[in-house]
Amino acid sequence: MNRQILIDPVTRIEGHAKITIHLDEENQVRDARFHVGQFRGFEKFCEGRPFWEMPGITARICGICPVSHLLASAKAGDAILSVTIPPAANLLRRLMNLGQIVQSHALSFFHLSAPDLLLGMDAEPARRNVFGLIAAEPELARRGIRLRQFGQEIIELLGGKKIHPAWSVPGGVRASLPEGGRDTILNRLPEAYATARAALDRFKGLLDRFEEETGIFGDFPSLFMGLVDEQGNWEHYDGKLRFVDSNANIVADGLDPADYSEFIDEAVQHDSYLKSPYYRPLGYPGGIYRVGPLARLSLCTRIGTPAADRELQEFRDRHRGTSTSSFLYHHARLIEILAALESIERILADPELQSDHLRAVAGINRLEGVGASEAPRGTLFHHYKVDKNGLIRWVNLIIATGQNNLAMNRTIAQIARHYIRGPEIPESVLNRIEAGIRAYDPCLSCSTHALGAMPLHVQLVGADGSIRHEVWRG
Amino acid sequence: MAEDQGDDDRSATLLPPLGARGRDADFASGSSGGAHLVIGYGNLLRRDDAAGYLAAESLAGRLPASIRAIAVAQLTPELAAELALARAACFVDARLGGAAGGLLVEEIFPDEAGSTPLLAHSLSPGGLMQLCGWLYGRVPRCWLVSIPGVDFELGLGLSPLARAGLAEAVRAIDRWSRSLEVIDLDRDGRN
Repeated sequence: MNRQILIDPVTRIEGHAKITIHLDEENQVRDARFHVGQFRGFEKFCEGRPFWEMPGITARICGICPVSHLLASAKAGDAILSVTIPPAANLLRRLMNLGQIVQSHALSFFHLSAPDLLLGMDAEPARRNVFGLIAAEPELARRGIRLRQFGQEIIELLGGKKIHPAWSVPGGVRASLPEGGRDTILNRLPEAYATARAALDRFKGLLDRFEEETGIFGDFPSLFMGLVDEQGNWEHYDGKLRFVDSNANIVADGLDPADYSEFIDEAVQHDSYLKSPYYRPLGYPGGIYRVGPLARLSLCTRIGTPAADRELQEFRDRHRGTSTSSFLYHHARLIEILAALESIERILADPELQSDHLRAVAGINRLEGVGASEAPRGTLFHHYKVDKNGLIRWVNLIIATGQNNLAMNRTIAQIARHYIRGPEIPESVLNRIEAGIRAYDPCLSCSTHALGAMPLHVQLVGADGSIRHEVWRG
Repeated sequence: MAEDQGDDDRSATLLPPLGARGRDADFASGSSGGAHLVIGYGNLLRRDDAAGYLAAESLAGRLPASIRAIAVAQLTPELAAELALARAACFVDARLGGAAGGLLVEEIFPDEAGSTPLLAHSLSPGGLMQLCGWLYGRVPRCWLVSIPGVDFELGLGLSPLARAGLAEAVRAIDRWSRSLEVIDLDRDGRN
């Protein structure tokens, strides 16, 4: 019988989760699994609801990335209406998504991952948290909060509320940027730029210290998937899907997200509600792919904004040969903040933004629609089937965290294989396993559609099934 | 959502209902700072868990200008900045368990350093207070109003217990806000 090490659940990620590390007869790590034990009933729950309501409903799946669901849902609604939304609505949706990327990445970096990075992986858990960070670098922590506020403010200006703004609707958006909103954002942009640059400089200065982690925190070949625009550049809201391999060779390009079921399949694990999507032509589990900031930077030809493109070039020069490491999600996230800020500035300068034509009006022209956009954590798909009255008959949501599930499993296994040398899990290993998962910034309230508390429970299960070692944290 | 620990366990911290005169006075005694703050939180798709959010939403339109109500799905770090500016704050949450009329009001305090379970993207009220203190050097007096609930499964709509608790919470906070207004007017008058 094989042995198992259980980590249940992980701190500082959303929802409930546990980790099992499977050992072979020689006590070597054979495999690892990231489990989600929360019932995933959201898709059934939506059946019977008018599709018009779906953006508002699905935005409530998650208190952290409601905008992602709002936009993907509205886009699925656009497809059911068979409309092209007005250009101003397109810009406004993009603006909101960029605000979302800024606030979500800021939370991930400054409050979740920065303690690991700035205080060190071996700092004691009581200190290796945001309070430890504040004690060490109070100004950085405050700036992180203000950067997150900046992203939230954009969302609030557009949607009227920070969370769950039912503003983007099938066919367009309900309202434009309010008077003064443009100036409000522009006035805060310089500070946001300064914070993003400071964080990037700080991170790049630390990278040499984490050479070992870069080599073992999910450094393995896989595909990367994400949206690109018509020129193959970085895209966060629309466009076509591209898959690249570990050497950035294009495996598939120009894929219509609406056809996702032709190239993405979903494996179901008996012990987890988190589905594991994979690239269908390569089968399971060979079709493992990653999504999110690292994937987007790996597959785009360029970003398309000057400062972010300079950072992308430096990123590629610096990490040549190791850009397959999931540790570099942190670096990619910071570059994306910069890209988002530049894109926000560009949108605000677009005269089309002032148009009051914000919504295409149509009836139900198709009984099926897929909406896809880039959530902060990766590509998000909403797929609906409706009846002739527009009532939802079937829903499938493919969430970024789910798409990274296989990669997270492999990351945990790689870390455990490197560090575990006996029947116990030392604190330092536990810290690294947590940090390895956090690199993906998983959002389990999205992937399981629930919220939950997160103490850390670690179990080491021997070959005979007995628990040999058990640790609680948090 | 908090979990009711049972009457015996909670007796030490359980405060009298808001209607009790003495407690009202304590509840209303905001210290220095800006506006008063009401933060209701919960998941709108988890039935009774929505009670705190709905309370804040309901209060948002009726509170005096000196009191701000914020409805959120969860307590996120940037709320620390809002809290730091508040004269006093009232968190509103749902809790599992309790009986009709079982609205709990208790003064709460910052978690001890390092004791906050640092979950992914959300904090407890005590954790948020702790963050506020660490970042901005001051923490307003805070209370937690917790509404009893029984159904936290996926779905929309409150149980009768939570619905009654929600109404009671809104009335209590409304009363609190009016007493604060009097205090503010008095203070202004003296000034």
